[in-house]
Amino acid sequence: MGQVILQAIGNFADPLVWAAILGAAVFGSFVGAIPGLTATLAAALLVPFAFFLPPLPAIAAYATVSALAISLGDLPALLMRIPGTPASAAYCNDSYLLTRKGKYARAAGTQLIADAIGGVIGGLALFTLAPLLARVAKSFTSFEFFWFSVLGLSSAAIISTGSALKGVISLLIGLLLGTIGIDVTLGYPRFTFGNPNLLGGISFIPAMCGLFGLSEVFRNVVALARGVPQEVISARAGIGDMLREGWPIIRRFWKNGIRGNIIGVIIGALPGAGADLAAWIAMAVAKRFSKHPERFGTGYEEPLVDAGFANNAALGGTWIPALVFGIPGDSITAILIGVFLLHGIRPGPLIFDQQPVLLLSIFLTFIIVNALLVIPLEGLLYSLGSYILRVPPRVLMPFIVLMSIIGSYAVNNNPWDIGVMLVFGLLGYALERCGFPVAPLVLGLVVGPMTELYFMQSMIKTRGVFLPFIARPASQALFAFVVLLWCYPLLSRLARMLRASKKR
Amino acid sequence: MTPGGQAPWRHFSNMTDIIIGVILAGLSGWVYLQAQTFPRLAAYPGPGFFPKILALGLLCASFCLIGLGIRNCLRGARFRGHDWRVGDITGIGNFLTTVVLILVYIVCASRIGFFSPQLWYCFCLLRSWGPVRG
Repeated sequence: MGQVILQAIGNFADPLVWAAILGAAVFGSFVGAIPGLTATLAAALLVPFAFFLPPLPAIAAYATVSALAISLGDLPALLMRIPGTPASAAYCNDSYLLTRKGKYARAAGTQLIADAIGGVIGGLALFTLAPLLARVAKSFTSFEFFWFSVLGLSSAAIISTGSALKGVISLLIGLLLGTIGIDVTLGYPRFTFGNPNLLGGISFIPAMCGLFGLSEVFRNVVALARGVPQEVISARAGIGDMLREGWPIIRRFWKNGIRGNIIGVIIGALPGAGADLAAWIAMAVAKRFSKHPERFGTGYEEPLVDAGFANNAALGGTWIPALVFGIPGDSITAILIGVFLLHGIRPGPLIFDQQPVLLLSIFLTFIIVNALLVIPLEGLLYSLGSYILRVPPRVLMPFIVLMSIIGSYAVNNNPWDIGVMLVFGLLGYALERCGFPVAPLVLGLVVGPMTELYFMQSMIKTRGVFLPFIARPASQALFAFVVLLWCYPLLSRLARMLRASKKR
Repeated sequence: MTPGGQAPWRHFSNMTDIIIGVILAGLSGWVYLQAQTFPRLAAYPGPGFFPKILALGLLCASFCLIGLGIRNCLRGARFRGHDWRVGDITGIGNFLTTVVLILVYIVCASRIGFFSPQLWYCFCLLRSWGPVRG
């Protein structure tokens, strides 16, 4: 173990690792601060670089980019009332109204500290919980992995933000797209229409570049013509002032901070949930237990602490199912799994035995980035204030298209993949226009083939009998979770109806 | 999220739900029929098993979507039409320019290489969207 720790620390002597971390930090900050550009988009645009980098710098860049993009998503919320990323939407009103009241330093400082501490806590949770879960997961057979995949898919559809029915439909579309290509039992080509490019299935990275990169471009270029200028408050403050004013707020609401961290890690670890849902849930819980719930949404500091801690702590949480079970916690970790596979590393419990140095280096990256980079970089951009928000989208969009093309093409050097990106870009745009969440589709695409594989392996073991699927205690527990998850909306509706009839 | 902090999925309309439901029902029916033609195994589920299950699930979900759309129409006593406009004429132009340029790029990249069309491509987009006016 000592040797592993030394080797992991030694990895940080490589200047390439630091170059990747710093480059990703600047890139992630920039993308996060531009309204409408999400952390997932930043992750998708990193693919071409991740392809050419060795595994550790590539994965460290992903840990960095997600942390900084989520953190800097607070800047447009503070100055424009527009969340930079969906994770900042929960407390957007409060932070903006605080700025309007002339308390920019206090609001920015609170978010700065909450982002840094939340990120470190998320990293520590990943560091402690992931190896423990991996130890348990090593005893899992294909039955448990099948149920775990089903659990991941179910929570992606039901828990994900928006309408549950549309979430389920989005998931089913993703799962159906995942069946394209050679099947696992007979090697029979399914839905390939005789096209050899489809035999290996849908290329995942081009699909991600399209769903998150190109669809964002479509949304923006359509809006370019309307071009209603958004008011930007010209507020500025030094890093020292922000820390001085933010720290008393964190101290005052320290219990909220702990609660936000716990909610963030737990919600983050649920497949398909992610940082934005963690922030919304933390905010709802904060309001429920607050002494002043009436102040929420009027420029109050309390929601900033709860949701600010939660969305950054959730980032570490999302990596737990991705590393331990190979099931992504959110869209960013779905792309991350693709990057792992690009480098020939298959996430799962065995990775903890096969790549201990790499994993420890990743955990260290999480902690280093949040502890050392978030405050100076985020503070610097906060102190620059409105300047960074004045970059016009018409300049940015061509470069996003270009990066998406490079990312798609670089994987196989095949123009077909650019076509895949285009199709998925149109699909992502159409889905968003019609109110369907995209995250369940991504999970369906990633986890679907895995679920089918575990199902077929189990069926071959049991010679086509279904009962052994729920014979082992772990499978029974996972099966019970799945049933509970599907029944929950129905049960909660019944409970509401019962309460309403009692009141009458 | 939209600028007002309102989630984009709230912008659904009953009409869109019904139309999408019908399209998805058709798609799932086609998938099911295609999966029926896949080879079958005696003891285990064959290659068509998963697509068939998924197609049935999608069919049920699309019927639910259609049903909800119709119910909302009847309940609300108003049939909200979908705003099919993608944007104004410039917005549609920008959208189509992007799609066409990517298609042209695919053709160019396979003939004259990957890198050189990129510069041209980037210039075209910048010119088309505003910053580099001739």
